Amino acid sequence: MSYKTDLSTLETLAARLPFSIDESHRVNEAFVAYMCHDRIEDKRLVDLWTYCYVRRYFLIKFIREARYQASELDQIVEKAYRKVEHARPGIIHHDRYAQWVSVVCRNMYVNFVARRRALVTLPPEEIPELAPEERDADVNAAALHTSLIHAIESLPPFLRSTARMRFVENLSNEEIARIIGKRSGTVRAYVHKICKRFREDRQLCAWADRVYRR
Amino acid sequence: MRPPRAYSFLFRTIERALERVSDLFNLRPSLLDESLSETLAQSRRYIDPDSDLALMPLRASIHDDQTRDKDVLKTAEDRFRQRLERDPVRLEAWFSAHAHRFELESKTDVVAHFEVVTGHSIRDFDVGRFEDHPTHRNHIGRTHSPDRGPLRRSRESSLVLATVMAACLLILGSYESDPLRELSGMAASSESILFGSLGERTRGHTDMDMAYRRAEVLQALDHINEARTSILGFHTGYDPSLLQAAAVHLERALAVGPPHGIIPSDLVRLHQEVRRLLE
Repeated sequence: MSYKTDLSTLETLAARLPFSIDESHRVNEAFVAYMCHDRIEDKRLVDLWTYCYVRRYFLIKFIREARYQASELDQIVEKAYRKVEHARPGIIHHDRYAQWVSVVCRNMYVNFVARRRALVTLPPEEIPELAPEERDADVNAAALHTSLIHAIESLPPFLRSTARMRFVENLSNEEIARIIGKRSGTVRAYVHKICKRFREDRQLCAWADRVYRR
Repeated sequence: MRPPRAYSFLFRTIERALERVSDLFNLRPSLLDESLSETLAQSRRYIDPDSDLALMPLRASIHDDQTRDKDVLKTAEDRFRQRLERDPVRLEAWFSAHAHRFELESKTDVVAHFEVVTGHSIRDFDVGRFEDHPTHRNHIGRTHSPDRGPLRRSRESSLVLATVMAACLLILGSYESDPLRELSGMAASSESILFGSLGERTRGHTDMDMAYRRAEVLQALDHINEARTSILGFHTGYDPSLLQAAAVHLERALAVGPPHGIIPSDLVRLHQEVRRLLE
């Protein structure tokens, strides 16, 4: 087995993005601009992000499953990218492009696993089963966390620490009340206000409607 | 016609009682629909220690340079690194994931594959090419935010009212800062006290030392909150006996040593401030 000493890796490409792969709201903005104005710069940016996301998506899945080959990785990345490129003019919600790409990748991965299962004869206990309830949390965890933090930062200052303690640290209302020195009823009111704003947050709703809607 | 003041007080009392009963029997309707609830639950996983092993492939696929939004993910990344340094199981999983990634990528020129698949040339994406693009992080104000027209108007009205009230209170009395309140909040939110290595699903099975320190700090905070006296937020004072009790609890919390010997600086300062007020 040979190893390349001068690696051209995913970082080489992702370094050229003006934002992180996990900042879904930024690529959604870029896609909205591309669909509205059809500028070449916007298309290049969207294509670059799409390739990086798709590659990272399947890289994560392949790291988890040791039985998949590197050649299969290149093939499925290409197939997924072309599917996204072909189907995206028909997207209705342009501001949910990142979440739509995530769903396309997931469907392709499900088909890939099913096809592979049919081709390769394995004992039943070795056949990898997809946990449908995971909904790609292993791939999108950083992006989801980024969306949550941005949603918290867009709250009024007096709600932010409560939102952090409740929705990031998962503390109870009573614990939060003791920490901030207020009554439980006040914390409940704060949480109520926070939830109301989260229901209006575009990126959280994009994830909820696109990826987690049952 | 507005109800008499006594009726308003009665309504508030009944409302509070109903809230307590609702909480007791979990009768309160959900504030979030199922999909948004699940989204928020999944959003916590990146910072949840219980998810470390499941998310190791994700962490192995993200190089430091890619985490450009360092401020947003900094807390999660810092905590993860601390756990990695302390836990050989996590460290082994980390190296294993990286090794597997290296093996997968060693046979591919990713840039060449990108050019073939997308039809773009890498020369079109020179580093810094998108510096002026509106989605660049340097362009402030491009972050997402929901449309809040009516809320903005009510916020402006509240701001005006608050400004007028603050001016009146400043004229009527003198304002003294309360460093103990600020330090209490900072110490209490310090991750190594409250969350640190405790996972979301393991909070019921905590390490004895961490649980002990956490309990002592929360007791101290209770005493500090009870000790505080003020007039409309001014001329803050403290009950010495309750402050003394708080100091004792803080000293017990500080006495918790290695392997959980990360002493939050905020906790130390809080203890020093309490002792200073008692002198």
